[in-house]
Amino acid sequence: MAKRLALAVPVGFAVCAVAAVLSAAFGAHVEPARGATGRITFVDAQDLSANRRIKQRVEEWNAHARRHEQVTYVSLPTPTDAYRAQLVARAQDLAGARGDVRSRCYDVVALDAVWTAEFAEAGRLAPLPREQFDVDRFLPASLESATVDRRLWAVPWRADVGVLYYRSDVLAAEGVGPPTSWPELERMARDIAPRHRLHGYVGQLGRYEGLTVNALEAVWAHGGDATALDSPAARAGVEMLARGLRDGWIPQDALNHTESEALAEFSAGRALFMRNWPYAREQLAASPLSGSFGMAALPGHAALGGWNLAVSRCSAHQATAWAFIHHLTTDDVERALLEQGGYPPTLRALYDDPALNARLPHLTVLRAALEAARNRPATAHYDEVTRLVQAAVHSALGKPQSIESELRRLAVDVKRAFSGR
Amino acid sequence: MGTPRPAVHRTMLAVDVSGFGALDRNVQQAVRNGLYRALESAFTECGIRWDDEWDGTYHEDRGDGLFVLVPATVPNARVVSALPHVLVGELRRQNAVLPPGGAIRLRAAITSGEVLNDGNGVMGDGLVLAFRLLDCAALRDELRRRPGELALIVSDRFYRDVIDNDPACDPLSYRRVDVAVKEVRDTAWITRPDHPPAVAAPKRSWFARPVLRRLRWSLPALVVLLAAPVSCDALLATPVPTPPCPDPVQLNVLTSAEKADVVGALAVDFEDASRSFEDAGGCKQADVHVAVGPSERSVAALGRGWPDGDVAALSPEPHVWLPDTSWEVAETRQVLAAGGRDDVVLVDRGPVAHSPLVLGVTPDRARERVFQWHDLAAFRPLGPVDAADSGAGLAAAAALAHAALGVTALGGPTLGGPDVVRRLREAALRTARDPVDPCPAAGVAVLGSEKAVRDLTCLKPLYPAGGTLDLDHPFVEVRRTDRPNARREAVAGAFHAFLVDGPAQAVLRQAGFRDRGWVVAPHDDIRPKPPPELALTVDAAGVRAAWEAARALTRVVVAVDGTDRAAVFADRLTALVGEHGDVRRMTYAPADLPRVVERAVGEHGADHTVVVVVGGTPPAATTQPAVSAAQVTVLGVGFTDRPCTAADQLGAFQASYRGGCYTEPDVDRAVDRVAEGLWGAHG
Repeated sequence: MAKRLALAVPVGFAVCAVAAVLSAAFGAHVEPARGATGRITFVDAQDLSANRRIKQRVEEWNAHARRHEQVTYVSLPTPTDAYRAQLVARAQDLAGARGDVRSRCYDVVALDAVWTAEFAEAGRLAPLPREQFDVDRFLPASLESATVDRRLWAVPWRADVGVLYYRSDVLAAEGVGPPTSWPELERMARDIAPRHRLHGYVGQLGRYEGLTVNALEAVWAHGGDATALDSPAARAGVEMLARGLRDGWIPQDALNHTESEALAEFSAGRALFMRNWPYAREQLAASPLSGSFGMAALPGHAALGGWNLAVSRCSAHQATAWAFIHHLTTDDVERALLEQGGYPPTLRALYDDPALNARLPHLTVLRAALEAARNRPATAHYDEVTRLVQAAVHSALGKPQSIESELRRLAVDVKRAFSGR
Repeated sequence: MGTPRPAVHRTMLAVDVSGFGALDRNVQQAVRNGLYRALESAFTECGIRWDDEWDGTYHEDRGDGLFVLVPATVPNARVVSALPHVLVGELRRQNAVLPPGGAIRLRAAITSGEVLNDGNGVMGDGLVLAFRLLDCAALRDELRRRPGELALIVSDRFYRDVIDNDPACDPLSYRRVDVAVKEVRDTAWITRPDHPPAVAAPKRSWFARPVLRRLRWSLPALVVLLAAPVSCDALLATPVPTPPCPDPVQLNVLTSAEKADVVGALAVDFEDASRSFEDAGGCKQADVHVAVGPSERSVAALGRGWPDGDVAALSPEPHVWLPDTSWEVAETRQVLAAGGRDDVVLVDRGPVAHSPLVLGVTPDRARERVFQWHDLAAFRPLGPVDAADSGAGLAAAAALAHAALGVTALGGPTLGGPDVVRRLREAALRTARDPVDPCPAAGVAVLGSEKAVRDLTCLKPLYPAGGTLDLDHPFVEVRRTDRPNARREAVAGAFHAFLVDGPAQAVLRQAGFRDRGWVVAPHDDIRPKPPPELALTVDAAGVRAAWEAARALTRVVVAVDGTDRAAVFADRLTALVGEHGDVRRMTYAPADLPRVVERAVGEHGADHTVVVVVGGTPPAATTQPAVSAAQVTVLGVGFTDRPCTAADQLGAFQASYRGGCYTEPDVDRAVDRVAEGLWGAHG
């Protein structure tokens, strides 16, 4: 078997180590698919602009790989709920499948970090050997999102984290730096912004996943947590957002904002602060606001986003799948995705790289944000949990007098949802 | 209906007996009496005098149930904390003496708001809301799914103002539901006073606390519970460990745009209902994703097996398809058969709803209530009819073709030929090319489904006298023979059963569709009786191709030689291009004929089709025409003998460019033939 693997695995991968560890770890019980090589399909949900970068990496692999280990790249630039629906349905179709139909398996899938636990617990993924992927290379929070019950189910690929954008020109004129706590942010948004005819703060408070993220960040900032949404701390977090809406330092429109509306508002020069993801930085740099904005870590804990790479349980060629994932998570590839696509890497070492830091000064901010970042709750029923959070928080923000009762009920509902019932 | 009374703020209870309409008349009377006795006893027991005074427990029978106004002096908390539980006991008492099959199971709604009596009856927003809530799918479903005499729903406002702040009202026994009935889209709260929610066992240690909280019942509730052995068991039972929930089945639904909203709402209800399936153990059995697909592209994608490219461009592979018409299903089967594909099988389970094709017109034109298909031309302008976008558009195109041509078999063979293409083009010209918003008052008529016209509140439907087409909204299961999935088939089957069941059918009716039995929600402008069906055979692919070609945007340069006949021809052609395109006219001297195409391309670009009309005697092609490098379509027309031979100039054009050449001494027929060249469904 060692020989077969050695022939099969492309350049740059520690072939013998794989074979040796495989034999040691699984002995005679190695499932055929785990050690097998062959053609695989890689599915990603990336948007079109990023496509090319990722496609290039796949082509790079295909140029070096043997013919029987070629990778078919399938890009599904659909909304993420549609992407998820397709992945789940395909995995369910092929659960336990034998024979030719396994060629329809999406061998390697890019999974939203927040789905990884669900996919693992539902039995859609094949576990990965930790030691093969040198997991200590990765950011701890990213690694946590790929780990369930101490087993590795995916490899962190692209990190994402909430950050704070601010009007550096305005803060400079006021002689202050970016806020380092939420009370400070609230004070600036309330007092400074109106003097400059700006909204204080925009985020993602529309009724969708972004609201869960924004609400959790507010809850975390006050010492609360998703497992006790009826606690005074959690309430204080949601009340801060509600207060912003009531007092006007968050505009009412924000209740419909997703990332793009918030970005439009901020880049049109209408807001002092914006919570958004790192991708917004490049767009702002290309806008009239270029030179008048700054990016800082959010006060408190930011939500971790990002994408992990996993191997589907239906994959008949898991050895190739592992090697391919290894290829996509090398220092070189993550470096290229950062420099060309703006994706924060999941590899810790890149944040220490002097050359990268010299070229990309915002890396320090990303690093600080990622170090403090937290994962959304890891549960097989995340879908249901987030739906409940969105409904309750959106309703509570619209009717602040109901916050307490909403959260009390939400806490009960969420706990029930965690059980899948 | 009584003395006029000014508006006052009241709490109101509306109730409806489940399945009342299906009962035998004698039993109905007994049930009605039993209900009144139960209500009277329950109110009295709660210390609220039962009378019929405006300031007291004023009550009225309505077609869809009855309502009671609670005296303003009674605290709201008493109404919710005590009354439902006492009412359950009274209902049981009555049920014990009612004839078999007549047991009362009650849906109840509590709201509050201003009510007044204008002399014709009691009205008020709170009352409307109460009856809407009473009618909502979630409440009907709740009573259907689980045993018990009473399912109570309260408005969100009432829940927040009264229940949520008072532990005696047991706020945690309520669950939140989304309600969409007619104009009401809101949150409401449902509780089962005699059937508290099943208690889930803790999966994690911190789950234990809310289990106890959920069972904190107010005193009257406890009395009722203790009187009922089943409920007592539920109350006293110690939780036993439950197995973890299995992975819900992913069910991807592709629906037509017309049903998108209602199917989206029903899918959420279905997910919830799936927790109560037999053996579900309270676990959600299905995750439903609903995508909207344009008709022609959906048919094409299904026909090629919905590969990853279609997942990227359209939506996830569908497991259930809900198109507007069965014609689209037949069309897809044809595509699958033509491609020799047997890995995709469509299982058509029949209609989940109906909606007849009608003509929506402004109220001033709606006095007749009917129209004749052959008079359709009088209703100009019509909104756009896009046969590719939806099944409803396809049906409208078929109806227009039927009206224009008078044929009943609509397909490739009947939709070709010069005369036919010209008439289809004329019909297409009477429809708008681009989307228009008919409301509030664009003055357009719309050929669309009864549901769509009903949604357009500014238009009224006219029904065709000779019968009309039925959008039959089939439920189609899409199965994959190479990867059969028994669990998914079971869930798809359950989704079908859910959609054709009473509550979902009621939701479809409220959304403006006719249910499977053709019943429609009452509406002033909608005929309750189903219109007769117009017997047409529709070959969807043929109709789409012919219609979309006929309504194409067309850019033409018509080159004329200065003769009268050429001018008449050009006028006729210009009228046929109409507002769906543009016509540039160019006059050439006979001697310049060889260079006329080159000139047209030079002046107007190669995206115009060049129609070269030779009205006089064509000169012989002494020189080959200067061939423009551009890819241009050239149609030659000659009124004299043999202008299209290779020896003549038009024949030389035909040899050099794509297009055609027609010899036709009659101007009308020449126009027809050019029309076929321009607007025929080629291939």
